[in-house]
Amino acid sequence: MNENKEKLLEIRDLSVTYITDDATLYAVNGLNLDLFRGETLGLVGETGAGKTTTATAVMKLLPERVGKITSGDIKFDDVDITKASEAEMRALRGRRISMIFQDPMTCLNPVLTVGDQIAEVLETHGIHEKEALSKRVDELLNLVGIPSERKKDYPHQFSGGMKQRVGIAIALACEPELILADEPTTALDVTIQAQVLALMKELRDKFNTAMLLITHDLGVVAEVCDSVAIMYAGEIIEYGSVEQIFYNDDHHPYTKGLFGSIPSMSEGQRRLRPIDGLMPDPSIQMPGCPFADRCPNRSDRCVEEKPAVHDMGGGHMVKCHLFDKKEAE
Amino acid sequence: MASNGTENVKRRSQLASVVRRFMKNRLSVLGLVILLFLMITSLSADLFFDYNTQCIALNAQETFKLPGTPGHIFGTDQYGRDMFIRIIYGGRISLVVGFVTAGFALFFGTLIGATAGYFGGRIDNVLMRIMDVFLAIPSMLLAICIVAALGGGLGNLLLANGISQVPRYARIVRSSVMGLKNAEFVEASRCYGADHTHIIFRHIIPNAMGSLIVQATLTMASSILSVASLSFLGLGITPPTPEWGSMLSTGKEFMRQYPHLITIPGLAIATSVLSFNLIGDGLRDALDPRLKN
Repeated sequence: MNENKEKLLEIRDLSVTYITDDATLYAVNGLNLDLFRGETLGLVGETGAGKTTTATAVMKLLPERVGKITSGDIKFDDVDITKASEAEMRALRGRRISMIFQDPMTCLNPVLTVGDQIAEVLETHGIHEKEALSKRVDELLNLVGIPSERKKDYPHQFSGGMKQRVGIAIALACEPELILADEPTTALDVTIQAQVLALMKELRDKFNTAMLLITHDLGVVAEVCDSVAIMYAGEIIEYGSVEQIFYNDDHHPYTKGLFGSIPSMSEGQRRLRPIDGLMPDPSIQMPGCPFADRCPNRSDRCVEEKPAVHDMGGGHMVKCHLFDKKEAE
Repeated sequence: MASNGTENVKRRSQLASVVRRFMKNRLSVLGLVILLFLMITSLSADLFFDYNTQCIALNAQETFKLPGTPGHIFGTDQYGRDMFIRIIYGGRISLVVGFVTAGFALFFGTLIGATAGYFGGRIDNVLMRIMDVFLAIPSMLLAICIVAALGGGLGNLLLANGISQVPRYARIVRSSVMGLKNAEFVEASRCYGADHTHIIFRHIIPNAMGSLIVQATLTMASSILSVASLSFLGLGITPPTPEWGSMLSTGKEFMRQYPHLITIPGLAIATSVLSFNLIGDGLRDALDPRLKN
């Protein structure tokens, strides 16, 4: 299905480490990911799995002197991000790759009007005539469902949902090809979440924007995404289309655990089954599968040897020893 | 209309809420009234008085008149000069010193502090250690040294005062910049392609401005005091130019017989300093972001 589409983002064997005085943290370990034009990919995983680090690496905004890409390539269209200069990256950020943030309360500058903050992105990327700027700001605000008269208001005069709409307007200002959305609905309540998601879907379809949606909410993934990558301890352990992830039977034990820990509407009331244990310490590099410690299907091999990626058919990939035999058959 | 109109509306609305909160504080309003009164009288003095003919009377009978003497509300000094007019003209120097010193320190302090705080590392270390050197010298002593080295006069006085105040601003700005540079809206701005200069001037400094304005009003007060002190010591404005500190200095010789020669300039200094301090207090409350809405 994806083969005839144009690849927009290609991450190959990406590893990111954070080096502090006390420890070296292996945040992302050999991550591979492809994103096609117009596709929405959900990046799912628990806190600390390296989702945000991946997005930050794509933006090339890892904390200076601390975060480092130790290996791998990130290619965005024709740009090699790992080798791009700061000036090249600045031209890319906001123009071709944009970002929507988790907390709309803090990602807007409290002393600038929202109109000015939208205009700022446009100005950075080449629109300077006041008339054109103001027209475009009005347009963008209308697009996200905010009356354009409110451009003169300050962020504290908006509700959380409205602020996130402003955040979306800023992200969309230059009609980017790729939007990185870092848990855009986590800080919002459920009804507002639904509105914001609907808006994001609508605008994505309108501009044919590719989106990397970072979340830990499987409901959001089912709602918005075309494909899903499940991330654990800095690795993608399962990848597939939404249908494959939600309906296929063969899954990585961690994915099964994830689905077991959300309430089900159809299966009546029973206790949720959380996954036992915690994520492995990111300062230790594991020789085997990072999930081995918590895995109910663990064998000795899991601890010693990194599992290979198995194609379960139709592009559904699982990285687990359990499926070694199945593939051979 | 477009963006210009937006700009104006923005200024007005932000100002309006600050002004409203400022007006609630009666003492600060009093300070503002005193300051405005001082400013208006000293700036418009030329419209009402001719310093050379009205103030200076070459007449020995006119000397040491007490306050309340007809024609001389504040009396006259040892040369028969009218104290009232001299106080008004002296206010010019004090106000100029206050505003220029604060402006100078604000400008350079912000520049240095923002650079140090934002870029951190070695730049921060070098700049702030230089500031520490200045901070280690008592500001009065530093001002005396600069004036002694460069000579008196208004220009050098302003420079001396300004330089001794720069480190304070650099420290304040640096600390708030260090907090703000990790704010999410700064990170967001980087994600939308903004460069360092843009982030510093458009996002960080406006957010740090509140505490700086308050500090500036306090600097105005303290620099009026220190210029008066320097003049009192004979290092600042020298007689016959009317200046409150030097009036105090020459008046001290006659204070036993004619105490009004020192009480009046002293009161003038105290009133102006007090008015700046009251305004500073009011602004601190009015600009506090936590009280927004």
